[in-house]
Amino acid sequence: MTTYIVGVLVVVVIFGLLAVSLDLLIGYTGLFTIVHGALFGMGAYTSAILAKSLGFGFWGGSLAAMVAGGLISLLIAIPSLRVSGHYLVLASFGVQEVLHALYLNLDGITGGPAGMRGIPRPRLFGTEITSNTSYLMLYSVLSALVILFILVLVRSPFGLLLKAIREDELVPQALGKPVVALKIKAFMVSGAAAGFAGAMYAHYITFVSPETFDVHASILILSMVLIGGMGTLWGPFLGAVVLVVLPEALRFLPLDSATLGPLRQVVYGMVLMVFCFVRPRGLAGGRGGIE
Amino acid sequence: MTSPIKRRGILSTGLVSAALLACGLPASAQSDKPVKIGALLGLSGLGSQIGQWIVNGAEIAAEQLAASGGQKFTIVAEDSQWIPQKGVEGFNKLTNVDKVDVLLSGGSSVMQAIAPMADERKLVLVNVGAQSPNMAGIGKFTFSAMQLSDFDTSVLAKYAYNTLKYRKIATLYVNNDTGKFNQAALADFFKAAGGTVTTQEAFKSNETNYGVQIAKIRSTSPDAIYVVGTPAELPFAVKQVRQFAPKVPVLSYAAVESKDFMTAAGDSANDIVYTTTAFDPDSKDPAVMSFVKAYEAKYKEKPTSPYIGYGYDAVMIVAQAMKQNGGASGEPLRARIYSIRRFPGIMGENVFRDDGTVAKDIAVRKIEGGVFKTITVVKP
Amino acid sequence: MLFVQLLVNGIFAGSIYALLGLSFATIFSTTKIWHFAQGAVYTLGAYVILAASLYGKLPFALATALGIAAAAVLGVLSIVALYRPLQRRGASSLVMVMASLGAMVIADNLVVLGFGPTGYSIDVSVPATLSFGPVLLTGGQMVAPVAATIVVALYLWFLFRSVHGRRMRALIDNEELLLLNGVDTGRLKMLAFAIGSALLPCAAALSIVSGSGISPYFGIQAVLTGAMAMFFGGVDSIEGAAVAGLALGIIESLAAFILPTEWQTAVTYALILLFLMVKPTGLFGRSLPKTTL
Repeated sequence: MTTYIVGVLVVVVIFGLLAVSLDLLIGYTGLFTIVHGALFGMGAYTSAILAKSLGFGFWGGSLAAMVAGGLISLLIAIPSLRVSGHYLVLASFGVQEVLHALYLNLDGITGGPAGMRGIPRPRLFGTEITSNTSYLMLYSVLSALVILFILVLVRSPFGLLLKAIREDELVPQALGKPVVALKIKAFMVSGAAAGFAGAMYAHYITFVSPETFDVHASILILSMVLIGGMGTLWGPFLGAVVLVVLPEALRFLPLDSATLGPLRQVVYGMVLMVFCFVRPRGLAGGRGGIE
Repeated sequence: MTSPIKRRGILSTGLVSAALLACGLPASAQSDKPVKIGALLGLSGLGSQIGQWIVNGAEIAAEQLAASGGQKFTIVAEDSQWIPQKGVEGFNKLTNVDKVDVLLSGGSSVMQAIAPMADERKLVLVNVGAQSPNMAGIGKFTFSAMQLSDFDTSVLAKYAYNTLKYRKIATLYVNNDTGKFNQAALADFFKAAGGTVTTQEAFKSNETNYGVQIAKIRSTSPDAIYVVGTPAELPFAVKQVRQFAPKVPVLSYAAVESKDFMTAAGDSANDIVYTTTAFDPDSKDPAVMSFVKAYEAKYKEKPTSPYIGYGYDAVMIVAQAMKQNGGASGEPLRARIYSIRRFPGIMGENVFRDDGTVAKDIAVRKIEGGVFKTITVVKP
Repeated sequence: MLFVQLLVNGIFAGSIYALLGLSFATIFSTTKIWHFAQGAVYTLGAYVILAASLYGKLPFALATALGIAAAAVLGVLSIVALYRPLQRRGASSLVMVMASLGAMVIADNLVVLGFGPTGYSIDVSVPATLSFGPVLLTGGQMVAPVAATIVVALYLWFLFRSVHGRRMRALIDNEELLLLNGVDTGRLKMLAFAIGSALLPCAAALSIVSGSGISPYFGIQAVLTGAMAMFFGGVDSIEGAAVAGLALGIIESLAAFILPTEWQTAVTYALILLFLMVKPTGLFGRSLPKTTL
């Protein structure tokens, strides 16, 4: 039983990082996007492709994944942010679909709908990471490092500026701060962290396929931020815990599976809506409330 | 084909237990403790019908085995939703919590994710729900009780060329694993037989409007169109082909033999020619008859889908091999399956090749007036 | 020849997209709410038509009318029971969008629980297929653009000629003026939601008539298409969304002429996003929406 639980925790750690990366964007910079599923995929596929074609391991792959995530974010941010927040929503939505189509159709590079398998497990000091427990230890440390970096960023002058932008961007603008450039930087950090989570995923499941990185994944990550409490960093991590553990716990219910699936989704939707009405600040008491 | 019930009578329960105790095998090998067979399949959402069929078939097998005395088997089902992440989590639960002795699974993405894990644990993994040819040799401990789509499509391609005298075909397929491979295989085999493939058009999952693809296909004037889709799209694709390309014959694959497809497609289903594993629920073979009877008694409907047969066969194969093995799973079970090689099956004999795949009889059928009519059966 | 056929298909698809665009634009431009729950309204409206036809055995036109009524009610419910209470609580945009998405997830899956995950289709009698040489024009493909044009014309007449319509349009960039004149903007917004939502079953009906199935998973696609059409046309131009929707359908269809079909949608979206980078106001828009979300 412990191995199973530890396995679930590994997934929690991966999605926790994803949720925190999105919180940097939504909670701290005030930018709403629906593209993190595809960014997650960008990291996963980059690492997988480099592993299969150039023999990269986890370490090289995850570094490349961060770069890939950051670059794609840059590509989305630059044109959108000059226009409006609404345009960013549409652009992120559109890019999510376009990237997903790339993962699905570029057979030669991504393996198409069949996906890519045989992604190597991480090697640390010559030993291969195989047990769930070693994965949990390694991934917890790595995730914690990235989250710590984001935390430090958020407390720094850069972070304070982001919060100022979130509250009312006319103020820092009037003070001559390069608002758009700051938003773009925040987006890049967010994308890089999401890419890293993608690499962790790829080297754990050892298999990637397009359906994992579709618009529903983006919606799931958004839900984690909401339920956890945006603008708190640790809140969205908690949100990830809830939204990963809950469906797993439902496995133990003696319900007929044909009903269980849609029911699970209905419960998920209801949990979302209940939080929206009753506790918009999320579990951690973020800034979901007063505008 | 020997009836599984008759075979059961050869070894008595007492002899087995005595032999096991004498060998000092682990407690799970004793025949009073049931062997756990995990079933990791998509049981909710799209495609859940298939997962449910497999579980149903497995349950019937387990019941028949229990009724005949001897080793009991329990089926432990987990939902993978046919996606790899859930597959891995379900695998972890089944192996770590439920401690299953053998695992049945399917869905090529899921299989690709868990086959390496099954190898690491030396767990015998039986594929009952993935047709993709890349299932061959996917894992040392993986067997495919399910016919992979290459033989299937080669039979259809040859039939289309030689018997139906088609010279040009086009394909219309869903842009996922099954769709891509099936149509690619058919195209290759058709070309090998001497025909040409005019165009291959893809549509996305859950697509509702196929006008563009069919327009492109029509402009190439094929003699027939091969349509592949999941239950969410297949009936509508066929309907629209009938609408936009009215006189062009339609070829398809095994998925048309389902109540859902027939209800949704209505009259458009008529005259479709397709291939499927030769499962004939009306067969007079005593083993098939007792299986159909047991299925109808429990599930209140006639078993028509071959997936039910795959679930059933997989359990029976495992049971037979384990019996000769004194109930051992893992490496000895794997070796035993290879040493036995030929197993009776409810849809024809199961002969395992070296890469763990089976070759089964394929039936070429045509839908006429809502009835699945067998035209011919081809042996591997 | 294939080009002409694809053009025909594109006009057909475009008529449906035009309605989706109009629907989304009506709601967004007047209220600035990202109404993702529109996906839920689309799905539920379509399934009301289905239930009325299959189980109620009603003639298709009547079933569609029922669907339209149901959608309008759901639209009003969305703003009254979902968005307004959240706004009163001072909810942020994330919260509003999440509630919207939550509603969509619930609705889609309730439909799956009730009707199963595979789609349905309804057989509607339409004029027989015409052929112009190698080009086929099915009954559905003939009916759809005609019906869509009628609906759009009626709607635009309402929007430009009636008092309520003009006031609704004024909401787009002159809300303060309306308030100063003592107009109940709250009710106007409800009207926008009602009318915007009522357009959705029309789109669904046109799909059904042409032999497309209805699927419980189409909701989010409807929202994305509608949003794309709206931005393409220009956020502050409701009528622009209709033209943009038609253009979107035609572009997407013709893209298949040059590219393998599976790239259609991705390329079309990429093109529109690129266009919007160059001309953010869209085809017919005059000004940009405010920067803050």
